Amino acid sequence: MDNSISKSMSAASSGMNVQSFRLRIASENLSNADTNGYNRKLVNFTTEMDRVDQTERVKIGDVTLDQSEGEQIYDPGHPMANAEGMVMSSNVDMMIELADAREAGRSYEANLSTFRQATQMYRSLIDLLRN
Amino acid sequence: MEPTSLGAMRQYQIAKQALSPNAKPAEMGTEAKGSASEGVAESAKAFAEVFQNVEKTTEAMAAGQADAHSVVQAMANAEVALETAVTIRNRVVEAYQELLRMPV
Repeated sequence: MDNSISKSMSAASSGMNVQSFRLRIASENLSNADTNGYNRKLVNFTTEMDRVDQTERVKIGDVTLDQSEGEQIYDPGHPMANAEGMVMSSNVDMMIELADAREAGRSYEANLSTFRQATQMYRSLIDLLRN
Repeated sequence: MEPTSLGAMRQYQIAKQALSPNAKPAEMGTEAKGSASEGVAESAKAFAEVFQNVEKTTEAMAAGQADAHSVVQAMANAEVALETAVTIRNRVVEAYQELLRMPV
C-alpha cells in the first residue's frame, strides 16, 4: 500500500516511542544521581527500514554506559571505600540529564505535531469528498 | 422532433450510440460490474483488516507487549478509514436517491 500519510504517521509514532524511552533513561540516571559507583546510561538511536511498507523509522539502539570517572569523595567508613578511603560517586550530571529530558520532551512534541498534521491532512481530504 | 414516447426512445438510442460508438453493450456492462464489485470487496476486506489491527494492538498493549503509541496510531488509522467508508457510503446513497428522484 502506497500511502504517504499513514507512513508518516507510523514514522512519527516510532519517534514518539523512542523519545519516551529517552526520557525514561534520563529519569533513571537522575534517580541514581546519588548512587555511588553508578555509571550513567546513554541511549543510541538507529534507523530501521520497515520492509513491509518501506518506511524509515527510528529504533532504540544499544544502551551503553558512560565510562568516565565520577567524583572521588573521601569517606573511609563507607563499605565501598578503596584502600585510600576514597568512594567514587556516580558520574551523573543533573544539569545534563535535565537538558536531555527537556530535549526528549521537545522532540516528542515535534513528532506529535507531525502525527497531528498527518491526521489533519487526511481529514481535510475526506472533507473534500464529503461536500 | 415528435413529442411522443416513441420519439424520445429513438432519440435516446441515437444519443447512446453517439456516447459509445464502438462498444458492445452487454459485454461492457458485465465487465464493468465485475471489476467494480471486486474493488468494493477488496476495499471492504482492507477496511476490516484495519479494525482487526486495532483489536490486536489493543490486546497486545493490555498484555504489556505493545506501547501506547502504536495503539494511538492504529486507532487514528481506523478512525480515518471509518470516516472514509462512511463518506463514500453517504455519497453512494445520495447518488441512488438522486436517481430515484429523477422524473421519468
